[in-house]
Amino acid sequence: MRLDKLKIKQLAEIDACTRCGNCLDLCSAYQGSKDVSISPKKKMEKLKSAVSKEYGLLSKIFKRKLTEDEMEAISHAAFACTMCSRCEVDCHINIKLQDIWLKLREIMVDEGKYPPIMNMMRERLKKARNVSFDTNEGRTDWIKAVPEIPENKYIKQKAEVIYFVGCVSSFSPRTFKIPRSIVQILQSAKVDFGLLGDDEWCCGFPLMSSGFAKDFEEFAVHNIERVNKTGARILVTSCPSCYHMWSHTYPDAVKDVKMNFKVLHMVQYLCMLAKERKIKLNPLDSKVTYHDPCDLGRNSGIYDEPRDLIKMIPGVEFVELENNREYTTCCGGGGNVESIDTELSSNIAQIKAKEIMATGADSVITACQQCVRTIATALKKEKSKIKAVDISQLILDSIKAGS
Amino acid sequence: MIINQTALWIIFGVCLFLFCLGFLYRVSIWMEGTGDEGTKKRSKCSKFVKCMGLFCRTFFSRKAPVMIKSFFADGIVHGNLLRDSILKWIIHMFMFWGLASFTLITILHVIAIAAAPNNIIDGSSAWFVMVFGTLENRFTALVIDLSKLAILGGAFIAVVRFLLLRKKYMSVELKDKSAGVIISTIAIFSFIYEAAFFLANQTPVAKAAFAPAGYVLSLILNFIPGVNWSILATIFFYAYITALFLFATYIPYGKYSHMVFGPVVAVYNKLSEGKHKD
Repeated sequence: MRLDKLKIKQLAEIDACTRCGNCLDLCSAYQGSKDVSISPKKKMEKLKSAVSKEYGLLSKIFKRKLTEDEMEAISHAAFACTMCSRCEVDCHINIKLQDIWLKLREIMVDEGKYPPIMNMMRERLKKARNVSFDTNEGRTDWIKAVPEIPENKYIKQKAEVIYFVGCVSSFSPRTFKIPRSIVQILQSAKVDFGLLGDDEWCCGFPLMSSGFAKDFEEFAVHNIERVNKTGARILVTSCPSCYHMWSHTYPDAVKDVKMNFKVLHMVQYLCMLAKERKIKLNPLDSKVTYHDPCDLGRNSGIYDEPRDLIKMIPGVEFVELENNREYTTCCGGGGNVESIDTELSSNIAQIKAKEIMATGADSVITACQQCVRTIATALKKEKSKIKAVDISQLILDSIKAGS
Repeated sequence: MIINQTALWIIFGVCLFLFCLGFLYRVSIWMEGTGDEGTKKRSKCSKFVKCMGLFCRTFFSRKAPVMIKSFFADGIVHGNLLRDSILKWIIHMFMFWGLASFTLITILHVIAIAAAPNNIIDGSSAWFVMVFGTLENRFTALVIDLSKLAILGGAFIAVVRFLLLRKKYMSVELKDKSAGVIISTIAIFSFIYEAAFFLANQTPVAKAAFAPAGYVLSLILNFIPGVNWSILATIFFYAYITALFLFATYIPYGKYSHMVFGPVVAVYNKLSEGKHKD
């Protein structure tokens, strides 16, 4: 096992883990499966044992190696993680657990010990440049239903703002409402914005988070160069994972190509527009709660802007979920778990749905297309009337309420 | 008490050497990893030098106040644990600081005894020998006694918590529980040494009372007739210092290494906090 891929700091962190078990009850994957073997505590223990077997003095003397079964167990635990980082928040010694889990997936990929479905996703991305089964030409098919669109469908050579739609919103009909709402909001705010069309490639998050770390760089370079060409000052994304890639992973991974623009998540941009009074928010009669997407909240630190936006809408009553901000629980849609273990993903979403139902809200607002999908499905299973809505839809409803 | 000073120096020296070797062994394992510069191959020595350089640059940078603050908040007070659970914090603080102070005072005690000329500790001895070389010194008696009481108190609360805990899987692993058992056993050995010492030296109450648990135990043991307290004190002195030093020596080699590295990592990671946050 190529444990030398782990950073020096990460090997020290593995030794420093006290195995206190604090992270166990907080882990969404554990809560959804009740399988202790996939919990952060057990993963750290397995890693500790792997390090000892790989580099330990006694293992060198007695030539002990990790067995196939042990490797399989590590791989199973590594790919059952939703990468929500909840375990990191309450770690007493501040271990950067998510970085370790990502590295562990990379190691497992190197060892060839990963779910076969990952290969399908990888091939699809290499061929079509998106995570769906469609060709990339269909990236802007969703725009047809938007009223008053120009002939160029906003695919421009030059634009002040570029809206990076992301694969799920572009290809999954269940989430088409999100880009449609955003385009209409930007239209009403008279923003000079553009789309990349079929020049938009996947941000590479599915590859990076599955352990195919090298493969995503090609996607990053293409996307940065394409946005640079438009001369845009701002790039906005509606997908938290795309946002995290653009704002945190790209600058670290791609050193040769400079980004000549600022990266914002849509909630930040909409909040800015609302504060500058470029969009007029009209009263809505609704009681809402907000679910913090993991990649936007915990992994990127954006908590206030979505709440500010919701509170700016007159007539909207806002209630917090029991677990909110950095303590939020995962919706089950992260870490590619949905495609690896559908049942686990669904169980995690059910827990989330019950927490939402306890608030008594009419709608749960979030800022992620994946969270909208998983939460909506879970609420439906619970026969709840609560609607799962992206924040852009709520803002558009508020704008439209005045007309 | 008949103490062989050469034997003490050998026990202490060998354990210290093995502890340092264990530390190097552990660090050498970390150096198998990749540096921040990427996958570029470097020797372990060069990686170590680079890490030390990074540490020095951080220590003498604007991050130094954060580092010092974090050293107190995370390394000494264990603030994250306090925020999470007061009970777990109390158990941890009792056992962690109990063990740390017990180990430190024992090292000083052993060095002072080994350094006493002709094995004699009296009014003419150097201040270091007078303070740390005998349990008749109030400071040494108090620290050695209270640190052990903290260890046993922490262990007791931990056992009660475990018995009352509904989710048993939330408790620490068996191998970590074994650390509690070993440390508690060493503490009991040391209490017997204290009690036997007071009985052998007929220590006056005014001095012995500074080690309350040891003194109370000496009153109980005094009921046992026909015991040579001097020999018993010697046996338990050797037993406790050897067991404690062996346990401390094992720390960097095995599962208990988090006792040393946990606070270090907590402080280091506090410095890099916010790296991936806006």
